[in-house]
Amino acid sequence: MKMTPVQSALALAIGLSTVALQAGAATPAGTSIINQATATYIDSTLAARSATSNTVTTIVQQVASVSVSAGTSKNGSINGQVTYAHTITNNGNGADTFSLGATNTGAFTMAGVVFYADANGDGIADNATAITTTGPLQPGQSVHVVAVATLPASAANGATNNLVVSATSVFNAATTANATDVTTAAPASVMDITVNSAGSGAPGAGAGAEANAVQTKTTTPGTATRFALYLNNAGTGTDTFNLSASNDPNFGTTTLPEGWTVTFKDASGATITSASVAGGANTVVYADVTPPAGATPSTMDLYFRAQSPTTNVVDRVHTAVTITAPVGAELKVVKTQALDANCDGVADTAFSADNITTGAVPGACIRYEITAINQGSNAVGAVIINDLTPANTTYHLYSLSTGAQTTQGLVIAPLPGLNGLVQATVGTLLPNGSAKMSFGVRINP
Amino acid sequence: MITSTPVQTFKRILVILTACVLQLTCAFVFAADNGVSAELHAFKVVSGANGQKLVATADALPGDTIEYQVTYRNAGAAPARDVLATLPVPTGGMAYVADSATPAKVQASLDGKQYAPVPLTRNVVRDGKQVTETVPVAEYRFLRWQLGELAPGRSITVSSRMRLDGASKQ
Repeated sequence: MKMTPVQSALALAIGLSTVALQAGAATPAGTSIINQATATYIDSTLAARSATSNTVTTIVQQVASVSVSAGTSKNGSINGQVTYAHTITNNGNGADTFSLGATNTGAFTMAGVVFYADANGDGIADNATAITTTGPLQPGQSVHVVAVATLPASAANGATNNLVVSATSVFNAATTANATDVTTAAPASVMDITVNSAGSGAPGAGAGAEANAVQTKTTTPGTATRFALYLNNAGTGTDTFNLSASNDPNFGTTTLPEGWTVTFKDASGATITSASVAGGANTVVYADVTPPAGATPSTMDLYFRAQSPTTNVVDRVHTAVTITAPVGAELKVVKTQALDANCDGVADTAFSADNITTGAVPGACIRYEITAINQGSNAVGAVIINDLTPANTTYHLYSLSTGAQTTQGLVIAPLPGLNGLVQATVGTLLPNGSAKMSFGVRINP
Repeated sequence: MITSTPVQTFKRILVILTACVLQLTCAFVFAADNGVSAELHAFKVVSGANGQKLVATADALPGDTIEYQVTYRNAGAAPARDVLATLPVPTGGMAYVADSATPAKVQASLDGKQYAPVPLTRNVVRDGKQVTETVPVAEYRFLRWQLGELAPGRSITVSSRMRLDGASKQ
């Protein structure tokens, strides 16, 4: 682009100046805008002359403009209060005061709505003095207020209320702005115990005790195991819940089977019997469960309960504890016997650990079964089952199929008619796995 | 009879001149002396069902558009030549409304000294390269028309619209 000398000079002049005009707030009300036109010309005597017009003054008038910061959503409980924070801003070009108002729509009507000043904008009323206006605000100035509404006793849980908070210009009542706060009525206290984590997807979420254990912990006799219990309060207020444990899902008794102990602890490790949970929050507590020192491997259902003594709000969660044999004592060996009066290699009765009180006469036979069971939580290897023919008996072999047998591995036995070791080399037994060795003896005639 | 010395006469003239500078009406005094007068009027541009109309006004709301009209009249006996008519864009939130000048051939200035035909452009360095950009009309502070000769007894009117800043903080 080719520039005229004037344009070039102008471009140079502008280039030296980096001051840019800012588009700011509206011109303040009362500003006088003064204009005056001029002209220069050359008269008939070739003299340079000028003409200057009258001045025209335009006074900027006030316009009202206001904004209310957006509303929020909260839960509230009957007869309880909800507090909504709003910022009112004077967007007009003159000082203005804004009257505060609130209207209700929805399934219930707030029992009362009162505004309070909140100078520092922390969402908490500065004092107990209700306000009805913002007080004078300069152009661009904001003020923080809170609207405190009380839910009526009739508000049904789940019902919502729309509270429309408005700020209306005193200078021009036609200028108003509003924002809507949504309140959902909710119980003050709602308990849901979950295990290991909080929230609706956590194990044990939902009311009542679950049909199946949501978590099973494995431990050994006399050794504590820990459950992490999350107490979720979906209500609106703080409540305190007593903690208890039972092997009865209905908590007919909170006395645990003999030798069992359950100790509740808070996050700091202190022993507790109850826990306080704020509305809309959760608290984690720990249940340390110790089975009796002599407990046999088994699984016990265990239920935990959190119940408020004031509101009776309650929930239970279903867990279980599996007791396994301690390391080095995983293997359980059981020996049973049965009479074989005619020595045909077949037991006459069921095998039992009980004494044989009749029929065990000289010349009769006795069958033995020795069962090894892995009650531990890990496989055990190189398992060997040993037994000796008792005194006053000799190893008896009616047929090969009724001689010394094992369900796993190899078995050795004395020659028929002699005494000695009966041994099954079983090898590895998996958890809950078992092997059975069986043989017969004849009572010496 | 009252007589006056040259010094008194000079003082008197000085007082009159000072008064003229202070008084708004002095423009007419000069105008009458110089043959060409200037008369400025402000109108509010009001949009209605039948289009826009101009309403004489002494006030404005933010966002309003004001049309300034200046009528230059040659009341003298001789032509006025090389007439340059200048209309400021007043400070206080007024901004020139692009293409509103009548006659349309107008010059603009940011400082009242350097004038160039609209639209104004300027050279700036951006990303290390010198580029020519259009100056926003909101930065114009003066408008000027080159009206040429104004014959005795004739008048000419120039006009332009200015918008009062309506921007508000939202």
